[in-house]
Amino acid sequence: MTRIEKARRRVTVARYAIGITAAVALGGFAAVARVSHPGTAPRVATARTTVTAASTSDDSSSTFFGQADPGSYSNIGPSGSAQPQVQSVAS
Amino acid sequence: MNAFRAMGCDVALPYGVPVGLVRALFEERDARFSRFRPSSELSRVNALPLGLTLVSGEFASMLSLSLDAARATDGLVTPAVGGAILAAGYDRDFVLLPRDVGAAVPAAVPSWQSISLQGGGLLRTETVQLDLNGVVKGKTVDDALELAGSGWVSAGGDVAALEPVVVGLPGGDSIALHDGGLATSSVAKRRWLAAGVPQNHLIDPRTGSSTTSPWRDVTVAASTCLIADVAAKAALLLGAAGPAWLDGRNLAGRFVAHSGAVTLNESWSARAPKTLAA
Repeated sequence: MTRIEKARRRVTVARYAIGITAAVALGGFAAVARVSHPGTAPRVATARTTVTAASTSDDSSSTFFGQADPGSYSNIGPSGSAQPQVQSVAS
Repeated sequence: MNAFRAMGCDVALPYGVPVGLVRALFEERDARFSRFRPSSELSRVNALPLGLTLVSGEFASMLSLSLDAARATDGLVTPAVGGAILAAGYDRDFVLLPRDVGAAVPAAVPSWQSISLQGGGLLRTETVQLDLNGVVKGKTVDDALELAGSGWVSAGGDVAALEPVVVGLPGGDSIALHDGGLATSSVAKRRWLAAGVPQNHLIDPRTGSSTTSPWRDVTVAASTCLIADVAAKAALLLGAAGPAWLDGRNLAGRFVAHSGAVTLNESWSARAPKTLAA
C-alpha cells in the first residue's frame, strides 16, 4: 500500500468516525431531551401518571403566576381624580 | 417624559432615568427576536424549523420563559404560533401590510411540547415556526425597569413600575399602579383583512385562526409585566371563561367587550372597586 493509499484510507476512516460521532451525539441529545421534557410524560404514561401530569400543569401555572396565596398581592388601586401619566392600551 | 419607538410600539419612561440604556436594551431585543428582520436570530432559527439548532444563551432564556408560559396556560400562549400567524397573512412589519392580504388558510399550531431545550440546543420534533412575541415585550419592560432603577417603563400596553403611576385604560378609565406590572392584550389594533375576512394578531392555538373572543381588550395586574402580559393574552383567548380563570390565579382582570362594555373580575373589583365601566 502506497503512502497515498494509506492517507486516503485514513481520511475515509476519519470521515466515518466523524459521521458516527455526530449521529450518536444527536441521538443522545434527542433521547435526553425527550426523557427530561415534562411535556412528553403523558405520551408514555399510564392513566395514573396522566393524572400526575395534569397536576404538574396546575403546579406550573401556580409557579409561573406565582400568586397561589389568595389576597397576598395587590398592586392596583383607584386613581381618584388624577390624570393618567401613561396608557395601557394597544399600540 | 422620554419616548422612542421600538418593537413596533411606543416606549415611554419618565425623565431622570437612563433612557440610553433602556433604548439599547429594546433595540438589542428587537434585533434578536424580530420576525421581520432577516438578520435576527429568530429568523435564522425559523429558517430551519425542524430538528436540532444551536441558539444563544439569551435566545434560550427567552424561549424557556415562553415554554413556561405555554405550560402555565395549557398551551394558549405558545411560542409555536409563528406558522399560523404567517398563514393568516401577518408576514411583514404591520405598517407594510396591505389592507387585504388575500385568502388565508388556518394553519394547525404544533404542540409546544414538540419544542425542547437543553442548554443552547433547541430541538423541534415537529416543524415549528417560533414567535416569541408572547413574552419578549413583557420581559423586556421588566428588564428595562430594572435598568432604570426607579419610576416606570411603558411599551405598547405594558407598564412596569417601581413607584405609583396612574395608568389610562381602554375606554377612558384609569387605575393607580403602585408597583409591579400591568398589561393590556387587545385586538383593537393590528387588524387586517384576508379576502375580506377580518383578522387580528392574536392567534388562538386551538383553531389556528385569529381569535373570535368576545373581548376587545383585557388588562391584567400582576407582580411583573411578563406575568400580566401572558395572563392577559390567555384570558382574552379564553373568552367568557377569562374572568374566572384569572380569579383562580388571584390575578386582577378588566375586560372590555367589542361593544365597549366593561367587566371586572372579582380580584380587580376587590382592589379597585371604584373603577367602573367606561
